[in-house]
Amino acid sequence: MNHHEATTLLHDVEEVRRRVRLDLEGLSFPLLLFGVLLLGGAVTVVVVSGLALAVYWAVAGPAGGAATAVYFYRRARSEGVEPDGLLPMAIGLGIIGGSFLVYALALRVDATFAAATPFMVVAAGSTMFALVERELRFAGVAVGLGLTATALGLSALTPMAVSATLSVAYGVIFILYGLTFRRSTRDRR
Amino acid sequence: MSHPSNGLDDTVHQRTRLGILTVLAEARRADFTYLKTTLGLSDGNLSRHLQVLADAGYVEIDKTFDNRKSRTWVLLTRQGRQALSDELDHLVALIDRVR
Repeated sequence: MNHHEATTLLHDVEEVRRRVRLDLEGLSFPLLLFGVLLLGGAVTVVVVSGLALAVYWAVAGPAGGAATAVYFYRRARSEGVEPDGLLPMAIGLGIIGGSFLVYALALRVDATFAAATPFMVVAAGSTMFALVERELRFAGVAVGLGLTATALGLSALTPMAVSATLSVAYGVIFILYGLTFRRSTRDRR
Repeated sequence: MSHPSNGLDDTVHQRTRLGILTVLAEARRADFTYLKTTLGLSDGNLSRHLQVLADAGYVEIDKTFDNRKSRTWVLLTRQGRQALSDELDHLVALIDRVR
């Protein structure tokens, strides 16, 4: 085997990898779904109450996770290629469980900070999702969202204002990135 | 020091079989049709290469029924993942040797 053949083989391997990764792209659907759910959460906290927001997420969180799992299961069956879902599932469960746990603990200290904590957990989970998907730019955005949540949690805003502001900010950014990933995946195929 | 091409595994060191292992390394599993389309192979060609990889213990072939239609899923084994990794290391070493 010569240098040229080895280079050609490695190039072919990279091309196959790129194609499979595009087929397995896994960020756009959950980002769009949870972006819409976050905007729904903003409406809930403004129109109803902070407690209603907790109830909303107790239902919407697991339901959104289940819908995402069903989406990936159906996509795998129709396209014939199935991603390794164990790590994403663990991250998703960690976000849902961690949000409620950290919120309950933080509530003992400060209500405004507590209102921001689920968003910090979501940002941490989103960073992990982005790293799993090798989307470094979105990982940077998720870290930025987490820092924003921390800053608002330490501010003098009311808990309701923190929840509403972060729900809108996360919701809009998730939807924008979801649409971007969907479009770029389609274009690169 | 031996030449890097001495360590190449004949089972994996073949464009199509390397492609099959690469697809499977990125996913939990892939079906026959996906592999055929992605790698641009005929049914017979893919079957032959899959059999070689299965005989070497690099892939597992799982035949299932989906809506009464038979479906063949292919999974990468631990040995297959190691063989792919070794092959890629050898290829990189071979290229680096010339640089």
